[in-house]
Amino acid sequence: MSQDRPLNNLDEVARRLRSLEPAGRIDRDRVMYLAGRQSAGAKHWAWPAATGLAGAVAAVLAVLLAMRPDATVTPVVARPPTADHPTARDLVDITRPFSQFRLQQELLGGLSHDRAETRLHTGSDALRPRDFSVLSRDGVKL
Amino acid sequence: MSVISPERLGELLDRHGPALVLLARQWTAGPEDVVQEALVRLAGQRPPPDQPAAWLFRAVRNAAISAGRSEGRRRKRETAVARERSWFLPTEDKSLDAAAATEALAGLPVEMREIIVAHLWGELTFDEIAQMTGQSKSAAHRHYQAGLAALRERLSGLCPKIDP
Repeated sequence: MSQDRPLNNLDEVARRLRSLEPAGRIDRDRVMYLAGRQSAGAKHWAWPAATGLAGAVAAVLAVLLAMRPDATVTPVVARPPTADHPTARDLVDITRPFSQFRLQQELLGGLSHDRAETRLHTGSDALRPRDFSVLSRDGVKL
Repeated sequence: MSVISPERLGELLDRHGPALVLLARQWTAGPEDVVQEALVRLAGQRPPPDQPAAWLFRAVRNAAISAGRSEGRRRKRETAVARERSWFLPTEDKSLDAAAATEALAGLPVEMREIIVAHLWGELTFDEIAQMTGQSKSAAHRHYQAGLAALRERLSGLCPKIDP
C-alpha cells in the first residue's frame, strides 16, 4: 500500500476537511507590486554600486586633501654677480651697435641682401639647398 | 538570469495562498504578512526554484516559526485571540462545521498540524513534506495518519455525523 494513500477509514475525514476553505486572504495587487519591484530592483545593482564607488573615491580624496602637508616656501637669495658667477649681461657686449646687417653677416655669411631677406622671411634658411642641376661628364652644369 | 514570471507567481498565489496562510497561522498571529514576504522573496530568486510550491511552503514555515519566536507575550495573547476565530470560511456543509474543525485542528500538536495542512490543503506529497519538515517520509506519513485519527476522534464528538 502506498504511503501517499491514507487509510480507508480516514478518507472521509480527509475529504471533509479538504472541503473546507482556509480563511485569510493575501492582497494580490500588493504582492504583485512588491514582487515586481523585487525582481526589477535586483537587476539594477550597477548604479548603486557605481554611486557607492564614486562616494568612496571622493571620501579617500577628501582625506588625502585634509592630510596634505602645507605648501613650503623656499627663499631664494639673490647674490650680486662675481667674477666666478657672471651674469648674462656681463657676457654680451652691449656697447656694440646691433643691426640687421650685422645679423645677416653673422648668420647668413655672405649671402646677397635680397636672398638673405627672402630666407629670413620664409625661414627657408633652415633647409639645406639642393642642387638638381644636371652635370656633364666634365662636371659642368648643363 | 531569469526570474519567476508574474503569471506563474499569480498562479501560485491563487492556488496555494489560502493554504500558505493556514500553515503560517500555526505559529504566528500575522500569517498574511509572512506569506506575502515569502512570495516577494520568491520573485527575487535567481534562478527560480525548480519546485516553487514546495519552496514556498518551506519558506513560509521557516518564516512563521521565526516570527512566532520573536513575538512576545503580547503577541501570544493576540495569537490566542486569533485562534478563537475560525481558520476556515463558513461552509454550507452541515456535516462539518468550520469552527469545530478549527477547534479540533488547533488541539493537535503542531508537528501533526503542519503535516495535515501541507498535505490536505497545500497538496504537497509526503516527499515534499519530509523535505520541508526535515524528517523521513515514513515519519511524516505516520504523523499524518496519527493526526487524522485524532481529528476523527475529536470531530466525532463535535460533529456527530462523523462516525469514529
